[in-house]
This record gives sequence, structure tokens and C-alpha cells, in this order.
Amino acid sequence: MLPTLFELSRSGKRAVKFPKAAMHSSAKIPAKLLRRQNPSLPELTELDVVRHFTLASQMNYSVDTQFYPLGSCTMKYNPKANFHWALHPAFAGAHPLWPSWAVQGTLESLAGLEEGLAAITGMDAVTLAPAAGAHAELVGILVAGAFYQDKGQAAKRRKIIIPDSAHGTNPASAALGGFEVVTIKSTARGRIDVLQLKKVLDDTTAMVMITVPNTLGLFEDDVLEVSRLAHNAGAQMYMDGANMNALMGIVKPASLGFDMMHINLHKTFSVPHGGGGPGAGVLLVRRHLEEYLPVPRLIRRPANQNGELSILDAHPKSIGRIRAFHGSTGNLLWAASYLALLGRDGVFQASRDAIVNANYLRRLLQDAGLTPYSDEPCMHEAVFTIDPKKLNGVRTLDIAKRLLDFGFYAPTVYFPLIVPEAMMVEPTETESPETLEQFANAVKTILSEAASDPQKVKDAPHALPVRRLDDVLAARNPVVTYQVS
Amino acid sequence: MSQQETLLKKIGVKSFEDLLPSLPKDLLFPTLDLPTGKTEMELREHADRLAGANRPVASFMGAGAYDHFIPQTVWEIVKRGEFLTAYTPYQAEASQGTLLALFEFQTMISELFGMDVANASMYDGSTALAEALLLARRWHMEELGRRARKILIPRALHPQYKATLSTYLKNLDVKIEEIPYNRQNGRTDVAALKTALKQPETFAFVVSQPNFFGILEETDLIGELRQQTEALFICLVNNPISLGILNPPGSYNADIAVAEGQPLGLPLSFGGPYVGLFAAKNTYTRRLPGRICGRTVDAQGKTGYALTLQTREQHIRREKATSNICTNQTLCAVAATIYLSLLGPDGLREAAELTLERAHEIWDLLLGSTNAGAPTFAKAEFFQEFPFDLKITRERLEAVSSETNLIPGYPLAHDFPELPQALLIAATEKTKKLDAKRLVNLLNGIKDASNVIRA
Amino acid sequence: MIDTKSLKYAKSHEWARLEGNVCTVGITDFAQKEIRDIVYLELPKIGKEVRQGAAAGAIESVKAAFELYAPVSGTVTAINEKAAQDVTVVHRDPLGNGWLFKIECSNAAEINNLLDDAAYNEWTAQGGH
Repeated sequence: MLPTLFELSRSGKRAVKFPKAAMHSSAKIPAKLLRRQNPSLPELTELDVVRHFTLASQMNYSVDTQFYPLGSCTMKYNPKANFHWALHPAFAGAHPLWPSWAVQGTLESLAGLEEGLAAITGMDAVTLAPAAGAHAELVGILVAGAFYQDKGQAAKRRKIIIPDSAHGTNPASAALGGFEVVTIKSTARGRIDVLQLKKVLDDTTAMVMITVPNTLGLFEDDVLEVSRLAHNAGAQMYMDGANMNALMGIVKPASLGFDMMHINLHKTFSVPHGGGGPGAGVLLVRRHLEEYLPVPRLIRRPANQNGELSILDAHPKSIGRIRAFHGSTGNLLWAASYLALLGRDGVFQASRDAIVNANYLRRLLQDAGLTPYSDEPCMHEAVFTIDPKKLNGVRTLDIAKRLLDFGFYAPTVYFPLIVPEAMMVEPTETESPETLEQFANAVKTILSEAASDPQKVKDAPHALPVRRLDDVLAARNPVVTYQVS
Repeated sequence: MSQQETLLKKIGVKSFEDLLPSLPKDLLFPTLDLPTGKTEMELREHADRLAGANRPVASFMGAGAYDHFIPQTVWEIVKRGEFLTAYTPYQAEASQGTLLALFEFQTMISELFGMDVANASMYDGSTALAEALLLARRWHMEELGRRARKILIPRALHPQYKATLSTYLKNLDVKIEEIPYNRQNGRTDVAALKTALKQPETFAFVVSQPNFFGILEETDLIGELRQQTEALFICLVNNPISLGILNPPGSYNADIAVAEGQPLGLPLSFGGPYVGLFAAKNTYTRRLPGRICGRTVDAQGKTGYALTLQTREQHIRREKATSNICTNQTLCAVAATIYLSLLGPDGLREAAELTLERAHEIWDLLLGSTNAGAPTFAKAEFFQEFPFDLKITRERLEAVSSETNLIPGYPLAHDFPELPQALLIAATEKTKKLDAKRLVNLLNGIKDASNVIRA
Repeated sequence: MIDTKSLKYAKSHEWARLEGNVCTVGITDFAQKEIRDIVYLELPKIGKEVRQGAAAGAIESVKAAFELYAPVSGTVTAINEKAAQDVTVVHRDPLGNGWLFKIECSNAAEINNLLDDAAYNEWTAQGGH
């Protein structure tokens, strides 16, 4: 392991210097407010810093260096062509509180993204403000709350129905929004149980929140019926669009009866994941929910007033602000660029290839000896389950760790929670058949190792900068900062 | 046979549609009202045309986002594919680079704030503040077994932060009470805060250092109030660069310190992505929102890093999680870590000192001018920004601003109707003396061709 | 050696031992094995009112959290600080030094709603879910 920056630090070293101020801070700031002791930040040269972080980066697996089949995360390649727009100084330098006359280029870029996303989903209005998918969920839930407030039903509609296969953010967002979570079990086919739903759906329900395709990589085939039932009960239909990469040009969520949905732009729209963020969430709604969307919003003046774009800062029915400024604009530009690059045919091709790739990989992995959770074709990802009893006690986690030795990042494991020893694989459209075949071969090899030398798999990884890490120790005795002496 | 056809055959289906048996047939393959795709060359032309529609301006806008100097090294490293295109380090062994950087980030933020622990980032400063209040609320309800119905915030808190708080707390039965500021010096009224803290069911009080007006608060006196109340003291650090010279929140008893981390190496980018900083005393470690990286050992006893204390989080605790946050701002946290390691303690102090000097130079210029107006707070003590009551009308200011491509600051009238003529003016170490003179001319109503900033 | 026959059990895998009006609570050997690596105990506060069958705390492993249910109603009078400091004692000695908390019963007769040793063994033999 590399030493930390604090261990590399030597007193007096410097990378960046500023011109000296002529004035001493004590001339302008009361002594009692001045810092008495420098913070113990490391002291390093520029080369120290560059070398440390370059070496650190080389300990990461990433899409640029490895196949990264992390299910539910859509780790597609991020085309370099998008750097230009996303990092252009004219956009990067714009202050969020500048008047709209100074930032028409930024606003035009964002308006184009809004229009494109509305076209793909069939929704009517968009907010680009949320920082991530979970943030967009919270906004959607508050929007539904404001809608019912307006209709005089807020006190009554306190319940959000969520299937047990949902992402953990769904119930967490519902709770944060002040709603009661009602979980319904999935059927043996991995779908929403319509009979169960009917039992809990009533005029106290604010929302039915489902993921399409669901976290098992399956399309909810009763979705139209679910929408009908929810609407009859007066509830809103929310689509968790984390898996939108399966639907572009395939089906529009609005046509399935959804009233609102979010898209994780860092998944489907190729904003680089950054090691866990920043992402960008977008909430899209049908017309009846538009006036409750958060501010600020983008508005276009009529053509007779020069058609310029401006920012709407307040609206009486809006839920208000959900962050200090407009949104993660830098990331939104990345998505705008990706959308412009792909265009109408490109987005359809992306979803189509993602589905074909997932089914090809599903077939390859089945042939390699893994058991798919479902017999049906999958959408953009497939879930497998293994039985450690048949593999000399080798568990999904062990297979995941061993895959790292073969130069592949691991699939998502132990999710969805309803599948024992789950392994969720999402190849995305940007991987070649050859890569998928190599991955399947690695899985096959690991399964045979489980038979011949299970300990080797259980002890994996062997070829990485560190061996298997003790996360029990990390949690029992948390050390979350370096103790700078 | 095309590659698609080959793959379909290997999968064992005749056509792509055979892979979609459970989708409603009549809704399949809708027309999309989108332009056709662009080549990379066309894409660049398109982006350049849009970039040209943003105007080059000189700006004195601050108000929570600041144009500080970003060393070249920061983004040269951040753009490396290994950082840029990795995901959440769930498989720790294949993510040691990001995890090491997060461990260093947590350490630096704790050090800078004088706190014990920090998490691996929040969305931005405003949501970090909202999450701090949610933590305080649960602390009072669950740990202290008390009702938690009220928070105290300064009237001089960032208006967009206030708005964000009220959205987050909307459905949670929490009353937000504002503590007034002193009209002479712009500081929050500590005596009023002390009285308000006696109200029952108050679970937190927020102080911003400096406050939204850029004015330095008496954090020593405010910190003493914490000893007489169960309410948690949450400190919003308005700009972490100020901690190069200002006392850290840990030194004056803050329970939780939060900040907008944008000034630490992130471009303004019209509002994001930024990075929320969140640090706290040890007592609250198991209640922190979001991801935390911890140090551990591998099977052979070698040091390594992994995400830890995950049972707090949504993917395990679901509706009982400490927050709903999943994706955070890791890459921005990495940028801030690189920024701080390049500056070190002395560089940070220099950046803060130069910023302080530039802001006071503008103050002196304005005071020395004849027609600009007068300081909003005659006895202002400030770090990098201050409000100034203008003589020029708002309409005239906007028109001249647009004509000259000079954005003079943030007008306070909308959020603070009691300050109808006040303009909040900010500087950083990058502020140019020539631009400062242009600003003073503009505010004095002097029309001068040299004022116009050209592309 | 603890006489397991002297204990009563909840289906949620807590054991309870009544002495006078005070009920000591822990988790069963079956439960500590199922949870594998306990990393943290979230014990109730002393003085907390608990209800039979309602959540009183939690036991955490690295990637899961398990609710801890009160086997009887009453007021929490003691918690095992030593176990909270060193959670491994719950693995080593779940029925003895790995006890978790004590309840002053509001209705000691409630203990009869719990399973006896034989019934609990049968319950775990079926999988215990």
C-alpha cells in the first residue's frame, strides 16, 4: 500500500505559492477569531502530489481500463468527445448567480437536454436540479406531497408502496419525505404481485414506486394494470429510471402510465461515474405535476421577446429549492453532449445493443455454469444465483473477488436482496462480444476452481495491490482519519 | 450476417423483438422527436457555438460560490480515466486508489475544521446543512429521547440554503426560527440567540462563519452558548479557504461543521457539481449520513482501505437509513484533496490572506469614492465579501452591467427587503485591480469607454 | 454452564431469563451463528420503556442490521457495556457474559407467551424464519 500524504509530508515543502499579501490578517480580523495553529495539512512538492495520485489511480479498476459489469450501475464507456463541451471554460467559468444575459449558451445547452429527455420518455416537464438518483426520488416524493396538499388530500395520503426488489434509496427517500413505506413481496416470477398490491392500494396511497425494468433485469409485464389500479385509487405512478438504458426508443415510460420518473444521467447518459459520483439526477413529470417542480426552472421567453432563456426563481406551488444552485451543470453538459452525439437512432441503438449484449452474456454465463434467476430473456442486465453447497462452500462474494484476479471488475453481488447469493451482471452496449466471451470464460474457470481448489477462490483476490480486506475489523474498530501527530 | 444477427442467433432467438416478450406490443419502438446524431467534428462546432453565447465578464459575484485559483495539477489528475470512470468502491480491493484518496480527504477535512471525523462527501453545502439538521433531529429523538420540533437559524444565513432546509424539513413538523442580525455591524445577535435557545424542543442552532453578508460572527461567544443547551451547534463554514486564517469550528464547540467545498479546486460550473463537506465530533460517527471510508488490513495484515459503517446506509437500512444518499461527489472530493495537498497549510493561508486583502482594497476604493454610496454595515468586519448600499438604481445598475459586461455582485433586496439598496460584493485572490477600478467607476455612475470588457 | 432449560425464547431469537421481576435478555447461539460477524450492538437506553415484541435495539454485521426485539414489556434497567465495547463476547458466550440488557417487567406473566427450550429447538430445526 502507498503511504498516505501525511506520511510523505516534510515540513517546509510547497507545490503552489501565491503572491504575498501586503497586509497582515490581524489588521482586519479580531485576534480572537484568528486561527492559532495551522491545520495539519501535508506539505509536499508538486511532483510528490502528482506521483502519489497517479500511483493511487493505478490501483483502481475503471471502465477505461477494465470490463466493469456492475449490475444496476450501467458502466458504459464514456466517449472522450464529450470532454470538450463538458469541460469548456466558457461553461465551467459561469457563476450560478450570474444574470441570464451572461449565460445564454449554458441555458441553451440545458434546454436542449430537457427537450431531448422529454422526447425519450414522453414526459411533459423536467427539472435538472437533482444531484443524483436518490435526490431526484426525494424531489418526486415531495412533488407528489405538494400535489396532494393542493388537492386537500395530504393528511390522508401517507403511504408509498414499494416492491421488495427495489433499490434501497426508494424506501429511504420515501421515509425522508415523511411518508410511510409499505413493502410488497415480489412474485416467484420476480414481478409485482398484483393481488398483494390490490390489498394495500387504497385512498391513503400517495404513490406506487417501481423500477422498470426491475432490479432483476425483467420488464414488469403487469405495468399497465398496475398503473390503472394506482390511478383508480388516485395515486401517482413513479418510475425509478435507474435502468433507463433498456428503454430508449424501446418504450416511453409515459405511455406505460407513469406520472413521474427519474433518470440517472451518470448511468444511461454516460456521465463518468467518478468513483461514486458526482452524478446527476433528472426528474421528469406529466403536465399535472409540473407546477410543483422545484425552483429554479428554465423558461423560454416568447419569440416576440427575443426568445431568450431565463431562470424562474419562484413559483407559488413549487416545493421550493432542493439545493443551493441550479444543478450539477457540468455533468448535465456531459449528458447533453452524449445525447447530441448519439441522436435519434443512436439512443435506440444503445438500448437495443445493451439488451442484446445482456442476453448474450446471460447465455454465455448459463453455459459456463451459473443459474439465471429467471427463465425469461432479460432486458439490459441479468441476475444469477449460486448454491454454495454445490461449490464446496464458495460463495458469490468469493467468485466476485476471484474475478478481479482475471482483470474484470465484479458484478453487483447480494442485490437484489430477494435473491439468495445474487450476482447481477450488466454488460452495457459498449462492450464487444469478445470481452463478454472472455468474462464468461473466467467465470467458467472459477467454477472449476471451486470444484478443484475452493480455498483458492475463497482467498481471492491474489493478484491485486491488497489481498481480501477485513471489513469486520473496519466496522468494529472504525479508523476513518489518519492520526496526524 | 451482421454482428447483431450473429448474437441473436447465439442467444437462440430469431429477432430482437423475441427478446421483449413481456413488453406491450402496441407501445414498442415509438418515434423519438430528436435530431440525428452528430459526428465528433459537428459536435465540437455545436458546443463552440453555444460556448460563444456565454459572455466573457468580470464578476464580483460570490454569495456561496467563489472563483478561486485552481492549480493546473488538480484537473490533470482528476481527468485520469482510473479516477474518472471507476464507480463506488464496493469492491475495495480493486478500488484502493479512490479509497485512499477518500481517507485522505476525510482526514484533511477533519483537520481543517478541527473536528474528529468527516464523511466522504455530500451533494453540496446546502444539502450538507440539511443533513446535519436531520442528524440533530434524530439525535434528540432517539439518543436523548426528547421531542425535536424547532431549529434556530440566523436571518443572515444564505437565502438559498434557507430555502433548501425548508424543503428538506417540509413534512417533518419542524419550525424554523430566524435570529436577527445587528444593523450596525451585520453580526448575528448573540443575546437574541441565547434567549431563543431557552425555548423547549429546540434541537439545533445554526451559525454561518462568515454569515451570508460576509460578516465575521462572534463564534467564541456563540460557542459558549452550547454549554447551556442540549441543542446541537451546527456551524456552516461559508468558504473553507477562510480556515487558512480563521479559527476552525472544532475550536469553538461546534457539534457538526458543514461547508460548500467548491472553492477547493472546483470550477463554478453554473452551480455544480460541487461538494458538500460534513465533519463532526466522534459522538456522532455512527449517525453520519453518506459513505465513510475506513482503514483496515488485508488477509496478510497489510494496510488497506474499505467503505465502512455501511449499516447506516440506504442499501442496508432502507427506510431506517440515516440518509437516502447513495451516489455522492467522490470525484469532487478527490479534486479537493489534490487541491489541499498542493497548497498545504501555508498555501491555504496565503490564498486566504490575499483574498482578504483584495476584498478590503475594494472596500477602501468604494469608501474613498464620491458617489458610490455607503457601507450597509458601518462597522463591518469581513473576510471576502461585504454589502454596500448603492446610490445608483437597481434598473440602471442592471442596464450598465449588461452594457459593460461587468457583474458587480449580488443584490440583497429580494431576499432581505430591509436592505433595499445593498449589493453584496465579493473578491478572491484572483480579483484584478483593474476590474476593481472598473467596478468602482460603474457604481459611481461614471460612463467610461475603458469600462467595457470585450471578448 | 447455562441450563438452557431455564430460559425462554422469542421466535425472533432472543432468550429471556426471569429472576424475580427482572428479565435478562440476550440472543441465542443459533442467532449469533446466523449473524456471523457481529460488529456493533445498538442497545436500548437505560430507562427506555419497551413492549413485548417491539424493537428495542439492533445488532449489526458488516452488511446487515438485525432488529433486537424485547421479549417482555417493561423498563430497561441495565445494559451490558462490556459487550458493547467488545462485541465478540456475544459470539463466545451468547447465553452468559454475552447478555445484552435487563428489563424490569411491567407484567412478568408475559414470559409465558415465549417458547420453551424444546419448542425453540423445534423452531430452529425448521429454519427459524
